[in-house]
Amino acid sequence: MPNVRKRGAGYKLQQIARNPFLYGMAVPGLLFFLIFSYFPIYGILIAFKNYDFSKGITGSEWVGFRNFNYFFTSDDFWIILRNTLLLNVLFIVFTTLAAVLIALMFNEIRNKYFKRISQSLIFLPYFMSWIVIGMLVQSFLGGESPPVNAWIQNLGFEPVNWMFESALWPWILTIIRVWQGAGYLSIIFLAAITGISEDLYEAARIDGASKMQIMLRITLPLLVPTISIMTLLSVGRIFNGDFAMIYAIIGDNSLLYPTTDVIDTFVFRSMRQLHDFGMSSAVGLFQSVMGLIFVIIANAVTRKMSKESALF
Amino acid sequence: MRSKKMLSITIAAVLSLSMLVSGCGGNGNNNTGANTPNNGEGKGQSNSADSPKETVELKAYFPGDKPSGFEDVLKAVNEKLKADNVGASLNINFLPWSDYGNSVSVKMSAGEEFDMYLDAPWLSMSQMIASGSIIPLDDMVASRKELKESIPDQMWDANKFGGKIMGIPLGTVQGTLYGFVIRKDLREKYGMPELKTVADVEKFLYTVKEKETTIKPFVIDGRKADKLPALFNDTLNTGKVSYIETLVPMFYYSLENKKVVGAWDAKTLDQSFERATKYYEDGILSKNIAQEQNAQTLFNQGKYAATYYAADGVEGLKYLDALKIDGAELEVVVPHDETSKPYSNYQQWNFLTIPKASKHAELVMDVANWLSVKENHDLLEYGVEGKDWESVGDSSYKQLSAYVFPGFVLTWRPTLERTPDNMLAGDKEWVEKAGAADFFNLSPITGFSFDAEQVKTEYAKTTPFFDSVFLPLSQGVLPADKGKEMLKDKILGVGGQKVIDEIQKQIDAVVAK
Repeated sequence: MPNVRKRGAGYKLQQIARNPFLYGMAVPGLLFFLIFSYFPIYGILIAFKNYDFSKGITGSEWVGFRNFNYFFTSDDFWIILRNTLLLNVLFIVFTTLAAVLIALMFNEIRNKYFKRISQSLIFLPYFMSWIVIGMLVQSFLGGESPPVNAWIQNLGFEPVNWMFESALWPWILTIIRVWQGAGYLSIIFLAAITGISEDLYEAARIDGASKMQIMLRITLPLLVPTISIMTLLSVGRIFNGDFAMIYAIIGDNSLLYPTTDVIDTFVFRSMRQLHDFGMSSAVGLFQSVMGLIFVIIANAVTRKMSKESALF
Repeated sequence: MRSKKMLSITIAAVLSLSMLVSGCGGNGNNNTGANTPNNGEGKGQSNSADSPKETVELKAYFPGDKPSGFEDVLKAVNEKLKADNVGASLNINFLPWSDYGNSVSVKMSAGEEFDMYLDAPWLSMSQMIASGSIIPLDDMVASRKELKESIPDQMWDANKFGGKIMGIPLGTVQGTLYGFVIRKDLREKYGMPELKTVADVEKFLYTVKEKETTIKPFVIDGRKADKLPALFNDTLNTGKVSYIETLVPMFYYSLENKKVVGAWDAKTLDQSFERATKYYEDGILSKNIAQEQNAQTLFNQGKYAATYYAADGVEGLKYLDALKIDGAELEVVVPHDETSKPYSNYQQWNFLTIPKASKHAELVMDVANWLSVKENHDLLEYGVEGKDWESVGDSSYKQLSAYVFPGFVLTWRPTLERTPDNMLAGDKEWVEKAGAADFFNLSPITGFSFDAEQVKTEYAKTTPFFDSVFLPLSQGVLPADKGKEMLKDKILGVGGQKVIDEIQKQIDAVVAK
């Protein structure tokens, strides 16, 4: 690679002075992050305070780590932590796998119209609100005689009582998540594939490589940096349960809590009566800090294996 | 060196620019406060002899969706306010339910100036009072005749916080009366006489279970199943209970030894829990009850013979669509033993409150008083007469348009409410009874409303058990014995005794007064 020589701040400023408009375009973005992401960090203080509306953030009394107490000493802490991590790992692994597969398949389709239509269709669930998806799930698996059971029985199997079997739900949620998110992710991968130089493919074809070989030896390896960056980005949110999704689908069905109760739904239920900013901020802070730690670890591991695939 | 300086200048410039941008919002707010010349001069009585007052716009935040046709009605309201020379106009903003509570508290802590909003014990009222964010209204209420008289004295008395009126209580009923909406045609089909007791209802449900093939006995939303313990109990709507609700979910107050206990020790509930267990096993309650969210639709589609009823003026109206089914007739069954009045603490669930930051408190009260005049009340709550509704007698109305104002946020006055003309006869009868203050006995713990501040860690730990244990127990999904034991272990296991002690302490303080 050229241009690896380290350059000082002076060189960078020179570049800025030379292309003021180009760099100027970054200003709105920088401002956005400054105002909406960096200034609010100051709100972290709430997690360590007995927050009082009238006194404001600075005026409220310091309470140290007391706000963290209720969450870490709750009976179900380990179950909830396990559920959050397990569900997220399942979501990340299967959504990525499915998205890569879809992207590879789309890349092989030559009929332009078929490709466009099927792309749009597979993209569609991403725009559905979780409430709507929750209702769909309810109408397939809920009720006293769920339609899915009728199908299962027609195939000669025993009907399943979906709303009782908590063991099934991590998988059901994973399937729903893949159906909803894989199409969207595949478009990103497809864009990365489009960026791969045509020369490589041509050379491979001249050397007599089969389609499968091209896919496995060229497309997939060159896609790895994108895959790992997308994965690293989702690892940052691994401690955040997707509240909108879980609550829309599981709702208040306590029978399914053993496997589906995640940090966000648990906090929602604890705070439904209490509305305590301090306690909810404490949990939010915990999620973010753990997310950060995970990203740093995952990034370090990725860096060890392949430098280009790492985020930083 | 020079480059470093330039870098820091650039950063400083970006920072100050963003400060400027974020600062703008605050300035805008301050302006609204500045141009308000006459605060709370008049007492709101429309007096045409007064010189026309300058109109001040009052900003309100309420939860929910904007009613259809709201602009037209609000315009008419504002015109009438002007004609009556109240000196105010209304600017009502509806915020989505999902983040109403948080939005309002954030707006308030950010110092936004607005003049009124809906708060409630189930929302942030106790925190707002504790932090002095909302203002007491006693004197202002006392000087406003229409407002004071449109709400019964018991209701004013029982809805004070720390002895003060912290919000205008908004409610139409003075206590809760539960019961059932049943399919009258089915009852008659099986030759059963009118249902009067819970045992009668039980018999009806079992008959339907046995004889009907397509209609199932009873439906209720999983979330509402916490009402089942009160519902399937021989003491329903009577004062013959040994334990009464404290309004802190899962905790009850013994009338005999005046002790606060968890639901597992409240003997009044034993019968209910056992019945729920039995009904669930026998298929009277749906196997899907934990997940059920469509009870209303299912009942209206004719798939069930009975559902839950509350005499609150709202619940009964939800089931009118069932009348469209061929041959279907509905009946409201409210078991009640006339020898014993049910307890009520006359507590209301919603309050119109005035934030401390408002500069127009007197004016807000003038508007509230103005809305306590029947004509004005009807205009905002039912819409423009002749276009949105027409009057049927003094206490009923026929709806003509889709305009429905959520009265509980601002306009509900027990003495002024009209009932829709299509209300079931039984529903109307019970709603009127529930609205009469004398129908109830004053609860010994009236005035108590829980402030969890001292035990908030323990309270935050116990509340999730409402969903995970108490609801399944009430739904019959968790068998009575096992469920009660589990609830006890879980709650006491996370320091629930401290919560119980705190409730006890606060109730004792109220009772001692």
